[in-house]
Amino acid sequence: MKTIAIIIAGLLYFQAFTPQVKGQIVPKDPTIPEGLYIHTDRELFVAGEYLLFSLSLFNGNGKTRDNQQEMSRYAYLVLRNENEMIDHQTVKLESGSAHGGFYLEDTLSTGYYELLGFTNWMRNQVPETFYRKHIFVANRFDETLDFPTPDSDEPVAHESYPGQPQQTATLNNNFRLEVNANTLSRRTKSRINIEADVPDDHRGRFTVSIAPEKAYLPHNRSLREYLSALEEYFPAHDPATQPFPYFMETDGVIVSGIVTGNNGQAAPGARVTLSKIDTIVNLKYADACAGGLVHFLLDPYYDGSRLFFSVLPGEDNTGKTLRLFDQTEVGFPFAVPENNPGREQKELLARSQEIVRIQKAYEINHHILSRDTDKEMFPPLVYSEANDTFYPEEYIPLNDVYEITRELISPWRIRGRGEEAVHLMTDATLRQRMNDTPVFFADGVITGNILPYLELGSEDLLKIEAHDYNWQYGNMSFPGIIGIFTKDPEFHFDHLRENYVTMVADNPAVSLRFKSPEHPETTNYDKPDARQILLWEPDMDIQGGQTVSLPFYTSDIGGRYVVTLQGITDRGEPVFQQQIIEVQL
Amino acid sequence: MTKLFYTLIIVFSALNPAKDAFTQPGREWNDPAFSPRLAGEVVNYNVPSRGSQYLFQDWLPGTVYLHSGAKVSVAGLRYNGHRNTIIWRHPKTHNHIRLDDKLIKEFEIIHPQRKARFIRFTAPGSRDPVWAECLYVDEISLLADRKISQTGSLVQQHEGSMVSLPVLEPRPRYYVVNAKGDTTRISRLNRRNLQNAFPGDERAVRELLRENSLRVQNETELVAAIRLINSMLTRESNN
Repeated sequence: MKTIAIIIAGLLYFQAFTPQVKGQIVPKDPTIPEGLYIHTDRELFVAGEYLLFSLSLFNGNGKTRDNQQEMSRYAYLVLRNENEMIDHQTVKLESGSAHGGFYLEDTLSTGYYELLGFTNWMRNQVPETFYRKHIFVANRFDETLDFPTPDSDEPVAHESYPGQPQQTATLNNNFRLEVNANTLSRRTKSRINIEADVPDDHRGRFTVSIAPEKAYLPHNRSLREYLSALEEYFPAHDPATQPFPYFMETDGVIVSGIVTGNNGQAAPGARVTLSKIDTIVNLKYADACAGGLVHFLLDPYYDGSRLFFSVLPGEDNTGKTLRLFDQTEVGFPFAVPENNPGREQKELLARSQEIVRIQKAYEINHHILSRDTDKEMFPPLVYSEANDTFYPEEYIPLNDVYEITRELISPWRIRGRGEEAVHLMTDATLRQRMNDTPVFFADGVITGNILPYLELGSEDLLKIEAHDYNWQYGNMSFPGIIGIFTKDPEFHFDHLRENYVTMVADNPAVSLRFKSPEHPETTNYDKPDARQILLWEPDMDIQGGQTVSLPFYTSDIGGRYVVTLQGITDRGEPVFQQQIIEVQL
Repeated sequence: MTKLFYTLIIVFSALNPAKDAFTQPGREWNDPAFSPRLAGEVVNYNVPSRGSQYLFQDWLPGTVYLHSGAKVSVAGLRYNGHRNTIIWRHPKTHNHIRLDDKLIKEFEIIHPQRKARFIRFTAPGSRDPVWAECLYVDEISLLADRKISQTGSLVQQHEGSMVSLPVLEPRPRYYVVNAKGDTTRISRLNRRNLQNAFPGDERAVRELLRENSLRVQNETELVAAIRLINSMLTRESNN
């Protein structure tokens, strides 16, 4: 009995001190729902401009962000209109926040668009918990802008907090916003001060923006309204009666799909492979579960790459079809707003069209695209190093792979030609022929049809890898592996493309930042500063007792601007402060 | 007793599924699609011999940590000290797989008496890395290359004919790694060899071993001695 107690204690000890390893999730509460709020630099745009956004992810009861709980680390943003999806992005969240931007293509027609933000985990929730934001885009060449305007302009979003004076709208006075001057001249340096009048151990994360006063739509939900909606729609979830069909994405984007047989029924047990074009043999696979569903966790290795999925022929050798689920599909329609933007907003759009034309003419761009170059990439290697690697260019030119194998690659023999080709491989350890045909990879992608590659000669080939072992990879057995790599994989692999279901993985490691010019004391007017956005700080972490000072420069565009501070405290309190400033030319 | 141990392992794993596989909040099942794959050559090392090629005779549960940062928990793992390879028993086919070393950062084998953790280690003067068991890890560490060497051969009747069987015996090699990363091999277990592994501190080490009556003539005493030396030298460097 004493021995049993020692063993149990030992096991507990091992368990307690198991090192933290990537790829593990230990959620404290698996039923916790999420909400995602989108703050944009404004809501009226001209095609050809950037839309800047910041995202805030909430969990818990919809009001607080409980950092003790596991949260999604990937979010999806979809831009769509009444007819189609215009653009989408996968965004990586850090501590529940992210920021970036969309380029609004020149070809966008004038009208309303909808920006949707959600996590894969949120798909388990009712649609009302998705944040949906309307923006209005005017085509740059639409000179008439002949959409009807309502009789009277509706109040804009910053007046949606009742009882606040028009000059400054305030919700939560503990974080105070102050601009050091209400009236400024062009190209003037000024400052915004944000004072956190809360205890030192409190903090908040905020977005600060300065945009034209009329660049907002009246009907978009404020953060406070969105949080209230989350509370209303977050019911107690019983996973026993309501299983979660969608995953929480914490270590990477998860691509899911369904495999069906010729009869259209789910094909459980079918094996689906995933590879991408590369100079290494790479492979992931998944077996379809009872409902025919398959799931793949995409590591950073796949970011921005075209993915090639195929269903392996099973023992029954019947045709099977894979259908991948669209991660951007939300299942509810575009909601058309009741009214068009008002008269003043139409005037702003007309002026913005002219400003964008000037910016294009002078090639002015205040946006910087940045890439996460530090991301660690670990390809799903089938082997660390091939037993034999041949570089045909190092030898006399040979006409095709048949000749190359005959002259150079001793473990691999091809008998016959064309469709009758039989491949034989000798085991490097046992020095005897293996019983079955080796498995082929064309430019890194597993393939059942290597014939088009056998016609390639030395001038087209980069290398041939022969891994002449009886090799095991998870549950897959390979009687030898042959990898043929070409110098122009995009061209050569095209012959095999039709055998795969393909998709392009988003690249969540790319983000966009706004950078304002810093005007010298002596102003140089050679190049116009036609910014309508005077400041965009998408991710500010402010601690209690702190006063943060943010410098900004006015541009050559005069008029009334609204300074907005919006965010949430670590106690779950929404903060919203606005102040009007005027730039006089 | 062994049966009881495995039963406890299974019960314990069932109670703690989240730490052994990629799990999903709110889902009852662990999707193997998310598990990393082990790769290696299917081998048959079952050649008759006097003495075993393996550190432990039984297939034991273990964990393999990959360079990608992922880990794979398996039910059947053995370390072959004769060939310096990790052998995984495939759970479905029961084939023996010689794991691809270069994909692996470290691995553990859970034996009823101890958890043996192995890391990749290149001994001084050697070009080829080996898997070395971490016997003690701190500022000063103790590693053991669990080498199993052929010490001779034995001719005897085997399955009706006379065969020459290799005689295999454990020939562990111990290495002390000090705080600077300098490695010293303890070629033979005794006090003098151990104190020589700490140049400049030989006298202090000798006194310490005498005070604690450690003659350092077996592995248990060596580990105990390294623990004491580590405490003493760490304390001195902190002062």
